[in-house]
Amino acid sequence: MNRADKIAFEKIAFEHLDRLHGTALKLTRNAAEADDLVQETYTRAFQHFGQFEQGTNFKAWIFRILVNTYINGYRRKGRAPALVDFSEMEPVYEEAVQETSFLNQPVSSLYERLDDEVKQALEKLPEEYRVVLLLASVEGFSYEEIAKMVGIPIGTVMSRLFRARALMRRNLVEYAKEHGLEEKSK
Amino acid sequence: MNCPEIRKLVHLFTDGELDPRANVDVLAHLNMCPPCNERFSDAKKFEDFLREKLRPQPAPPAVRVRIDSQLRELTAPWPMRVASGLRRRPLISMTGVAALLVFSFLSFNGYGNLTTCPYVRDTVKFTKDIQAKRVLSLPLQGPGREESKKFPNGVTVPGYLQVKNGDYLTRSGPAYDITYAQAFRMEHCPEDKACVVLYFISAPSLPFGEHNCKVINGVRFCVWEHDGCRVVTWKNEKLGLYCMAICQVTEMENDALLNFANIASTQ
Repeated sequence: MNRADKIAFEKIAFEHLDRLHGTALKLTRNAAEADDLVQETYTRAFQHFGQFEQGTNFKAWIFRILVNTYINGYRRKGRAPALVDFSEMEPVYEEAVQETSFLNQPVSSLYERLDDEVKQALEKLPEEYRVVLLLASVEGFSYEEIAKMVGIPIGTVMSRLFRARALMRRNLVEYAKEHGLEEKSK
Repeated sequence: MNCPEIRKLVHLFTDGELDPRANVDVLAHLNMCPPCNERFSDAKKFEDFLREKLRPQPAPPAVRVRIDSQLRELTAPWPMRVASGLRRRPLISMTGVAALLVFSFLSFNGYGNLTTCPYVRDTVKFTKDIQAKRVLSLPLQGPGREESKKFPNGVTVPGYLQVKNGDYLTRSGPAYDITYAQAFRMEHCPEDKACVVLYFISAPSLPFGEHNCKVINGVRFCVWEHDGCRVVTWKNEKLGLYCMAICQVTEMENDALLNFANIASTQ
């Protein structure tokens, strides 16, 4: 790779550094590992920059490298996600929606005060749900893009996303209750 | 579509994944169904809430610095990559002595024999001194990341390399898929010094013409300075090997290094 390629790469790639790092941090839940993951992502992206098709979505391309690197490497470090039984997820989601309606003003304003709790709720998600939620809700990737990044069918993306959202709501209810949701909404 | 059917589409709708026709159907339904409309608004607000609360902070400046430095290393000519790798290796940085580099695409396979280019500076006088303690074989693929171990004399480490005497150090990481470094200690070296470092690189072409080069006895030597190290490379035509010697700038003058390289090239 010559100097011009390097400049072209840097111009396009560093624009996404904050978002890549933010995602890495939420995936690894560890600052040092996140730094390593991001560095490795950039190294790989740089080495394979020739394979990137100009005109296609660079952000999706480099996020795919990030997710791949994470899944293939960092996940093996003894952080297997907890298994969760989702057979009853749909009623749970319904219930969570009822309890956490954002249209209920007192509830809504209470949620606004949650901050670290949202991150904690995310961290409590099993990994496979955390990944899709981050990519969809935070980074705004399409189901198809996420399917390619994670290497799962689109249907699986949808079901994981659905369950991730239900779990987030569930977790947030608990935090909100700790902050006095019950008193406020009475 | 009825309400339960519409509600199943809530996330597809908020995620913008519905095709235009279904989108119109949903909008038409929401227009005349306040409970569904409420459900959809709630989902949208929840998404906005998550996106806002989980928005990434700026990456620490140190991360950018690390990546910059890695990219610089990746684009440097290969001797410089090795030289900066050297600087980071504690075992090697202790040495303060020159190192020698050999690599060949063809002359070894997993267990092929290697011919070393010699390094001579006080501690080692002749090629055979090194050959007696050289790495006898090494793999095409090194262990992941970085590894440094001590082995007793003559121990064979299956799949990696065979070492006589002392230490070796390998590094293969994301930037280097092939193991490229071996170091080992001579018997008569001081305890805290590794006298010889051999590098085997399965890597890029040599950018000979671009640097400060000098032809001595028909051999073209090219000298670099990089990260406090002086580097000289040449090709051993007879053996078909590329050789490289590295020393810290403070340890050896340019002429002395060239002189050494000249001696080494005739061995």
